[in-house]
Amino acid sequence: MSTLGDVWGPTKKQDKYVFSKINSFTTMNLDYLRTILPIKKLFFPQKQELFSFNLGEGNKKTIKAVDDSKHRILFGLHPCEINALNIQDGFFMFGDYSDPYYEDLRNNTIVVGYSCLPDNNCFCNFTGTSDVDEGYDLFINNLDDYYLVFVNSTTGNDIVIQNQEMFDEDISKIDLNNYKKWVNKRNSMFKHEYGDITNNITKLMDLNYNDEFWDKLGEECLSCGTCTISCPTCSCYNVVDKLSVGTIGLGFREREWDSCQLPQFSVVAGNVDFRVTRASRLKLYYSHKLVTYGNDGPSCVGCGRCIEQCPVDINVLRVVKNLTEVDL
Amino acid sequence: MNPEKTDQYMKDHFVDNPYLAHETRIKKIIDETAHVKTFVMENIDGQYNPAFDFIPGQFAIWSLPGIGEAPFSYSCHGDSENKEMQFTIHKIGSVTSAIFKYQVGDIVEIRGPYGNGFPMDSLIDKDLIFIMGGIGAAPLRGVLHHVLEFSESYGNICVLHGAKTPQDMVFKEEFLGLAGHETVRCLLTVDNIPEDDSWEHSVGVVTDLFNQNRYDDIDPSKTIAMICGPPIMYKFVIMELEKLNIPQDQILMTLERRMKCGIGKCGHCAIDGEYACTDGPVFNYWDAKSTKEMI
Ligand SMILES: Cc1cc2nc3c(=O)[nH]c(=O)nc-3n(C[C@H](O)[C@H](O)[C@H](O)COP(=O)(O)OP(=O)(O)OC[C@H]3O[C@@H](n4cnc5c(N)ncnc54)[C@H](O)[C@@H]3O)c2cc1C
Ligand code: SF4
Ligand code: SF4
Ligand code: FES
Repeated sequence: MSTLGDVWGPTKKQDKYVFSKINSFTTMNLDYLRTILPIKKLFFPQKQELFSFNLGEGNKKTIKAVDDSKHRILFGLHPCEINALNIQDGFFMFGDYSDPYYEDLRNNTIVVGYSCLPDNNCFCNFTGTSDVDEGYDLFINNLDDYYLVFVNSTTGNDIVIQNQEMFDEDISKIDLNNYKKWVNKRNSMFKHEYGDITNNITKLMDLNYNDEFWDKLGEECLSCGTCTISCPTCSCYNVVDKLSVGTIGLGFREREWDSCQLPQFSVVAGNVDFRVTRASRLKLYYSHKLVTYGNDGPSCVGCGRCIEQCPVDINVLRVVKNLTEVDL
Repeated sequence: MNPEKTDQYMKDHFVDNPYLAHETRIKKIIDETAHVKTFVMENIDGQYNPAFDFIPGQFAIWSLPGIGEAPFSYSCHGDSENKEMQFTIHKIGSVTSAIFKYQVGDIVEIRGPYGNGFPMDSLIDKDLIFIMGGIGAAPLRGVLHHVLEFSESYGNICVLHGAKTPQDMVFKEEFLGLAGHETVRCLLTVDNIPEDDSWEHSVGVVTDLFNQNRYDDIDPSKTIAMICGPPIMYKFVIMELEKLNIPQDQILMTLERRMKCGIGKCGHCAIDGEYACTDGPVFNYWDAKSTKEMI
């Protein structure tokens, strides 16, 4: 598969995992559940040059081209990650404007999914993202003794055809039963059983909007932005112009990840701030995760990163608990 | 990568790239106040710039490589041939200071138009109230120009305009000139009058003008109100408009938010589930009420 291009996959870094470029398949660690940073970093890099300019030469602009002579293959993405990627696709590529930088990287990437069994922090059962039906080329379901592979694109199909000796197209009754058993086992492993509250979440958010639990969360929050960096569906960015040191007139415009949790996020000229309190910034984050993001429905995929990474334990589950719990 | 691909790639990426601005030339600069100038922009011969094709209430982003970008409303209504655009700009920070150094004939990069703009068709045959504070007069001026040009298609028009001092009032001469207009009533107010200045109109905040206006020639059910001003103004103006029984979906306002892209991607202008840059910046009060923290 590496003949198709660079392979990226989960690797171990101390006791955590990261997506990194794989030189040999033995360094890949498919036992992982979640990486520190989500895969969005490969489509919407933390820092990205939009163009460079030369003020001297009539403001001539140059755009760095993506090398599309070889593909990137992302190996081992779990369903929540692919679902998050689909949400990012909707945000960046569909609608009135398509982001050409994201689009290039996305179109040049082959996605190979890989099944997983949840830990205590996973709750994709509650966000409807424990399975995925689009946005990948191949999806490999680990059935212990062998793999069931779902093919979802012609590119995926080509890979299968080129490696025919590895595949068996006949799916027997036994295979089907094994898959059913696997699905049931996976479903029984989720620790969080909120059921699907997405039907009422808009009203619950609305009715709870001024509830004091938000102020409490606001008091605890450190405005560190860890939640937005680690969330696979956060995509806010800032844009800055940078001048090259040494060469007068040369510079570039760069975008970099930004966070709605940072105090400056909604400040306009004259120092008017539309989101003064931490509580109001948290409400924005959670309304985008639970109610609607990019005019397109809730965006939380239940990956559990905010549960694992927020230093003061503010996360989707805690917010949902506050939103739904009856207090007497 | 082979060279042909690079050429094609560059072509595609320059034509369709929403982050790249197009060149226009400054045709004229008008000093409005000590801190506000109107820039009249013209198309450079033979160059296509989509930013010229706009309606009032939309905005464009000025791109100053090395300094940054900033959004500004069109302050005119656009001619049918898309040959001219105007922006009325308040010098307040880094980008606007750099803009103030430009001179007539300079080339500026502008991208747009962005945002929804005012629903111009739905204003026809209606009575109209314009309420503006400070630089908020800029986006409403385009609507007003259009309405005045075709005044037989509209009902009666009230303009309520406030500024800090007489010297700070943008378009002052233009508004004073409305006095002779048959269907237009224009009331002006300033917060205070410095000692060395004179002023024959009201003193007070813009909402005070509501008490001084007559409403006998305005039919609330067919009136559309349009508001633009500093953020704190909206709530108080809306209270006055509700007293007049103007339906909530006929109260329109254009909002300012931080904007880093103008195309619904950077997230800075998000208000609840809406984006001021693509869903707005013009919203009606009915929708604003159901959107958290909009006003
Ligand atoms: C839809 C819309 C229409 C506007 N129309 C007008 C107009 O007609 N006339 C006018 O004078 N002003 C208008 N503004 C406000 C104008 O965009 C700001 O005054 C301008 O961005 C200030 O830039 P600065 O670099 O000079 O200020 P600074 O205070 O130096 O800005 C500092 C930084 O904050 C950013 N920033 C500050 N305010 C804003 C903002 N509102 N949006 C985006 N980034 C911001 C700047 O990009 C800059 O990086 C409008 C704003 C919006 C959103
Ligand atoms: S909100 Fe938390 S659980 Fe949901 S997708 Fe983002 S990081 Fe994952
Ligand atoms: S919610 Fe947690 S992770 Fe997010 S900014 Fe606040 S403290 Fe940081
Ligand atoms: S300005 Fe970037 S999303 Fe609206």
